[in-house]
Amino acid sequence: MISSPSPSSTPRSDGCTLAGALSVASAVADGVTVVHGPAGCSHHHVSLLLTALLDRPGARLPVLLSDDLGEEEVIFGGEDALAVALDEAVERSPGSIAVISTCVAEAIGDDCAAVAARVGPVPVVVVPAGGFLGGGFHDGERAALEAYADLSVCLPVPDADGGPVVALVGEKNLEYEADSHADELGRLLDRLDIGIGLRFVREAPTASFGLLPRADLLVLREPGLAPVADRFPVRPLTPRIPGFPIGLSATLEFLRSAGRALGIDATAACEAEAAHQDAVLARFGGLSGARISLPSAVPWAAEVATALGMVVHPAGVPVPVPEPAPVGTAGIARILSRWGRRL
Amino acid sequence: MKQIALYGKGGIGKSTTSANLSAALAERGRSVLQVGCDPKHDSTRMLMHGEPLPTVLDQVRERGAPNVALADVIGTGYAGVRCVEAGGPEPGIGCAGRGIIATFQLLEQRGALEADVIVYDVLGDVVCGGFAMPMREGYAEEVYLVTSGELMSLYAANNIAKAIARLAERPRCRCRLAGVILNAKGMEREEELVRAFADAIGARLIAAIPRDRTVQIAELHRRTVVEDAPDSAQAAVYRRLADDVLANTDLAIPRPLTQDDLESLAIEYTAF
Repeated sequence: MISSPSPSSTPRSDGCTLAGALSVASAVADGVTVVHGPAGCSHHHVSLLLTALLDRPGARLPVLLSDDLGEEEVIFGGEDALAVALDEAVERSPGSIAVISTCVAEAIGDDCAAVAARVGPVPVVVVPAGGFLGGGFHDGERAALEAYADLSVCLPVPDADGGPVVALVGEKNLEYEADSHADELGRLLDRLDIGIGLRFVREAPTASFGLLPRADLLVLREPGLAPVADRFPVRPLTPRIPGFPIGLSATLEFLRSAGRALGIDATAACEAEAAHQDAVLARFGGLSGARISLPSAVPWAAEVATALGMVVHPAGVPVPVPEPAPVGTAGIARILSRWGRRL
Repeated sequence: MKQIALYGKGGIGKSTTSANLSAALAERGRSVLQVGCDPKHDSTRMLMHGEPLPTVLDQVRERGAPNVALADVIGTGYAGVRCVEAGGPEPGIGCAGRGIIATFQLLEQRGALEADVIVYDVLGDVVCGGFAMPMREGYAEEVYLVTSGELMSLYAANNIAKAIARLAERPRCRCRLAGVILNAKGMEREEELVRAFADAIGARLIAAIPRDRTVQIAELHRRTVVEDAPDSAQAAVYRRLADDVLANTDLAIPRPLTQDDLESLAIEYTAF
């Protein structure tokens, strides 16, 4: 039990499984999500999503439907209610439909997959999200990613530009800086003269998921997604980068890894990026010599401090070290701005 | 008002025992309500002379709970016994336990749970919290375990004893074990075994109902034994059970057996 909740002591991965699944499903650009459960489950999570979207003016509002299970559906089974909601979803002509079950639906054993199998011709993915079974937010997120990965093999391969397909996997859709992180990866990959072929799954249309099986490189948002990627229907030995780059040297290593994976010489790209990092650090040269304190075991922060000539000492000024950590050189620049304001 | 519940393994004869008990209680001039708490809804069939009774949950499904009237779900059977069947979802779908809870709430809201004696006939084992509802929420204050001498039947009875013991720890729970009823299969030393089981869990063997052909014949006539063969020895057994239930004030918190102890007990009384 957490006796004094605070942002740092609140578990970040043990939230509702449904919320995790919704964070993925609602990011399918042409998708409709049906929550198979009481209306309150949907309302709570719609509120959460809308709050997250407030920071993105003009952002698309996801389409979420609830089949509004009540006591009668619990007693007699909720499959008929789900079928009705799916009919309504189909009428909206989505690219795909996600059915996400809730605790109560899992407890009474509704067969969502059987109901979904009767829907046509819109592709339907079913994501079990009964949190009482022991899962949390990340489990829902990963179950949804796996469901869309399974769907990807049923989709035609979209036309690509002929270059290698780099797929970003498992972006944290509720993260404030999610798009900034993707922009940064796009900037880095551009140094190798390649682009991001697929964002799996963030504001991507269903048809684009057909690229996943032919991806040339998977860039996972974080190493914890490895078991999910293991199950992806990609070609054997498809290279992957285990996480978005965090820190100065990790960003250069990201370029080297991507180059190796795609058979591209990354020397020039790394040199250009290293020069860019030097320029960024120079902008914050005024921080040199400042005494700061850092939480232990945050190597990227210690690396930045060393590079800037800062003094890390337990009695120094505590500086923010956000979690999730900032991505790439741009992320380091943003965090240095925050350190500068603190100092 | 006396509220009793008969629990036991599926197929052990709870409904037959309940219906004959209700009939015998009604013959004693008591107003009786029998509530069948089994999705297969055949608890009151003999009392209703085979006339199918619309179940509470069927009515809820067809009309919606607010539109269900007591007259839609309560039938009057032999000797004026009022009969209700909870019913349940189709096999393999939904949650029958929640259906039991919804049924009780509806009956209580409509003021139906009034009688000198209410007899709850509850599905086999305590398979989930919903089927423990009659015990948990104070509807069934006196629980009778119906069992034969077969190990699986004793196992189910012991499980229910566990549920009672657990529920009895709750401050507001008035549910107690009122006794064990042997519905015999005709096994050797069966009554000795069930009496020993009752002793071991801290209860009393309140009746030993022999296996008798009059039961099957009465069922074919769609009547209780008490009505169909009123002068039979079997009817006398049910009437004696009714008298004992009315007089019984010996309520206990059971001491359920471990699996090993239960099996040892069964072995002790089984002829190999």
